[in-house]
Amino acid sequence: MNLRIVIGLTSCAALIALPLFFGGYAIRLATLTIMWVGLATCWNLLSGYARYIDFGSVVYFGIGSYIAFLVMARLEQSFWVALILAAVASGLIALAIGIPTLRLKGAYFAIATFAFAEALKQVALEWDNLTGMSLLGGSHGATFPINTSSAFFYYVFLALTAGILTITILTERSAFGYALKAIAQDEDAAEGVGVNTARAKAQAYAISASFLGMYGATESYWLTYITPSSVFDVHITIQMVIMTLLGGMGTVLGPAVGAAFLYLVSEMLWARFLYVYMAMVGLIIIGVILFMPQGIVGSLRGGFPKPHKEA
Amino acid sequence: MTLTVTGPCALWAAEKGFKIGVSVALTGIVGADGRLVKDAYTFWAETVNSRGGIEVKGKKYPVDLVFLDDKSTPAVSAKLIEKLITDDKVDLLLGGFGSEQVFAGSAVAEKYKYPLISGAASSNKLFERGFKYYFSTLGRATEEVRGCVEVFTSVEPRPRTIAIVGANILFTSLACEGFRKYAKEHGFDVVHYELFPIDLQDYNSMLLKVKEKNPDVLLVGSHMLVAMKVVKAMKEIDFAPRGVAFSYGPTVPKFVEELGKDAEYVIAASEWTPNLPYKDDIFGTAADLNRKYKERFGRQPDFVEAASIGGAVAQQKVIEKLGLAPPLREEDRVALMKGLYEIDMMTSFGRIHFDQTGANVDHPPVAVQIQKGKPVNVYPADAAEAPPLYPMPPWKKR
Repeated sequence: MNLRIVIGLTSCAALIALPLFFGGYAIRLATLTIMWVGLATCWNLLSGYARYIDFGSVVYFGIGSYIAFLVMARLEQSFWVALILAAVASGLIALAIGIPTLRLKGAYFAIATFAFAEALKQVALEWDNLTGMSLLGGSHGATFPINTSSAFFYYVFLALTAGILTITILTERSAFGYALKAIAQDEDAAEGVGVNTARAKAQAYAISASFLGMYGATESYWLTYITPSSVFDVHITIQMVIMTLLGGMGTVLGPAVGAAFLYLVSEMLWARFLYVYMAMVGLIIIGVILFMPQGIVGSLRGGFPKPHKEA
Repeated sequence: MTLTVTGPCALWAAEKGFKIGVSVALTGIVGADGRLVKDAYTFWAETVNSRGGIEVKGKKYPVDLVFLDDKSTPAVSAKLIEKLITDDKVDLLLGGFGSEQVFAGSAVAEKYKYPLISGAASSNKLFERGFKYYFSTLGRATEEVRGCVEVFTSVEPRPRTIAIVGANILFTSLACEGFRKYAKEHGFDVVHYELFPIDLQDYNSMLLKVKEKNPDVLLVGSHMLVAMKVVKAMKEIDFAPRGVAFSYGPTVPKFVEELGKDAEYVIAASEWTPNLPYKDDIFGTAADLNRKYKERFGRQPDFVEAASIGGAVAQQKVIEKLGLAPPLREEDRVALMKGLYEIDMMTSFGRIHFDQTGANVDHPPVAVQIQKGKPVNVYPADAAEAPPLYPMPPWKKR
């Protein structure tokens, strides 16, 4: 236990000190890796623990991005205001959407969330045309004020990722966490023994949505320019899913390990094998899933008990 | 992926030449278009290196290009520009393909004070951010399509109705706005206006709606892939308006290669054709540039390639004029940026003179038509190689 704490504290110190020693591209790579670790961890909270496969997570990333644009560019408020509003709005929208859709099970929930994300992308694209307002910029995209500090974005992402990881650690050992795991095993049985499954699912969905909103807001400010197609891109969701599967669903460190592994490996392969690296990444994913069905972390640990097949 | 293009003295170049970084799409949705830009810069670098390099204060410094693939993704473009500057430590940058990608990348270039001249990104918004280090040798996207509309004012019988469709990404939707603006100015009746998703699968249904309105002319806001899909779908549903024009695509050689005879009669916006009276002391006339390019790559350069070469030449000329020897320091790049605003020069791509927003002023748009498998300049009349073929015959009669 003590060794764990020492390793944990040393890694934290190293991560905090990183921008003092590195700049430019190295920090950008580190920032992106931390961002993906966070995004996969968000996805894991509901989909990993409760096995409610969400194929529309990117929608909250997109909502956060556009909230940030409205707050910062249209209302000329600070990034911090934007960040808080992105979290609140994403969380509330998630509750409104989650309460009805979380009654759906299996593929139906996945389809509903996927459709919601695609629908909102169209709304963002067409809003200005349909309403005659010049609000979101449609396909022309939206530009942000410019912040040139690499360290700023690094620390914001680091704080967000530390936040969602802490929540995951706390979840793991709380009644809330047990409720989610019970849903994964057998939702009806969980309900039978008095678990408020609807509430647990909605909570997990809203917490992860709030964080996704903040990630969206921060990345958009960092890139300075967004379009509906870029922030509601289904590939962002797919990446979160694959990273979590690779690392191990329903574990604290699985999504983090999967995200860091996949991001850095594809970056290295891409640098050397431009036209075939996607195929290579595909082979690695297939390999991990075949030989480590519980994911990297799950397999190293000897496995998280297998969920009920229907879940 | 790092690809380098070096002259005969590669080793020496690595130490003492100009290292120039380019983040450009080589894969993804605009990968085919982006590879043209790569060819263009490669051609420029080879030509300059064959003469010993860029001449600064009597000494010649070869050029070493570093290409990185942005996968047609803005976020990747931003990351790569930062990599080129801080990791590869390039002296200079040149711009990639596509407005979204360049949008994200130019913010990073601005931050590090690296001039970024693009020959393949022209969306109006790029010039509205107050950036000092972003330049484009192309005109604004909405202006670029003017020739494509005006060419239809000179044909007989004059068309009356126009339908406009386009992909809903930045450049193509601006092109559609340009189409609409000039169509209205010239008294055409716009009977249909629609933006569709860039990843649209079913072009047939989209175009059937247009066909029902029976427009005389169809104008399309497009990149290469969109343009190809539109032509294929038009043939499949047997939709042949009297004229069809695209904002971009038909001038890319692959368009004619893939579509063969179906590419005939198609009109496209352009800003350069080899018959125009442009020249410089590196490539000679526009016709010379065309001929040498053909010898090197076995095909004509597209106007985006000519524009990219024009940007590289402009940067080279300012460096030579100011006597900036590599490795360049920040103050050198600031001087280069200021120098770029002062030039008013003729190149084999045409006149280059940036206004205070970094846009190339007064670059006359032309329209080309695919005739016998080649893009032929058909507008404006005083620059035309041949009159436009109009009306386009129905598919069954070809």
